[in-house]
Amino acid sequence: MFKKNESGYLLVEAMVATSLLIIGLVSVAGLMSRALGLNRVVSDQFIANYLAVEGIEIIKNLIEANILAGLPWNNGISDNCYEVNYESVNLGATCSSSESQLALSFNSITGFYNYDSSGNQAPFIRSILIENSSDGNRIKVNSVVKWISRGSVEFSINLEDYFFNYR
Amino acid sequence: MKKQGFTLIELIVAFGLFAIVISIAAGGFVQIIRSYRVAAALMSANDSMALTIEQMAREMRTGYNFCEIADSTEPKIQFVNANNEVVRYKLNSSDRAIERAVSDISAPIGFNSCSNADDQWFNYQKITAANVAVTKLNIVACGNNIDPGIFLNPCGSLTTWPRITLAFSITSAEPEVERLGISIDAQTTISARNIAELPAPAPAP
Repeated sequence: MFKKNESGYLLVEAMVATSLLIIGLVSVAGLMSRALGLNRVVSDQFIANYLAVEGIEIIKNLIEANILAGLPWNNGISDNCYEVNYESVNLGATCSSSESQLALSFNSITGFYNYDSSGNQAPFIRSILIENSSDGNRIKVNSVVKWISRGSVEFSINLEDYFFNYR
Repeated sequence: MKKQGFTLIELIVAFGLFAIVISIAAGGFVQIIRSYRVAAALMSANDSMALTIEQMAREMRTGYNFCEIADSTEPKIQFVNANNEVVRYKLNSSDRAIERAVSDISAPIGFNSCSNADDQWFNYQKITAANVAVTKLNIVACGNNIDPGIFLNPCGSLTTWPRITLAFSITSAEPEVERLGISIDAQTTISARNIAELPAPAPAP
């Protein structure tokens, strides 16, 4: 049916070309799903950043409260990993084991993140790590917020601050 | 039978396949461009909001006499800033913006007055950019206050330092983002830094 001296394309060749095109497009589809996930990444990073800042501010607040109450500046702020929320008046609960750390829950009615069981589980896990210097005049605070985003990629924000016994 | 090029059938089939593939691909590309645009709109809304929150946080850190004014739709916070001006921040729920006001110089309100009725002395101005829509703002101020005339939530115990928690929901004002119903719910806490106006600390036990 076909002869050797044919010139020009055949249907088979056209199909090979289109399938190559399809392979190219599959990678484009991969890019597409990445782009669709970008919204989540952008908003999660924004939220996590503020939650991490909150952790540092709460520790600052607890130090000031100690001074206001006439207590030693680092009263109750001992080395450990803690789960504090915006209403905490002391460091309270230490972190659960590193694998099953308690995530913050978000109450959609009040709009607040805390460890209250009334809210919905949010993806953010915040741990406040305290490290006192040996002379007791400096506290190093790390506020780490971890979360799992789309495609089970783990993100984390680690803010570090130092507080000094300057009074 | 010696072919010189395409037959008509081959040409039609090849073109048909090509058209199908290209239309799918074009749809995909349009989707990619759209979602990048949404992500860019969200990022710029976040940046605008970050600036507003930074401004509020800075003024609150150096402020004192905090007082939250209960209002179900438009929560407000009042305090005295570092320049000894009475400042209020509120959510404008119809414009979906955060607004700031300094009390009128002739206002007969002192640093320890805190009521919704005083709002007539405040001329609010929008401080959020047009590209961000603030749909919710919740303010909790707790801790000891410097002025005994204003009471804050005790924050669990009486000896706590003033602490203000802001919880806000934002979205981009871009219609494309709003149609997707993306809402960003964030929260941050500010601890006041002002110690100048504090009463003498209680004697150590």
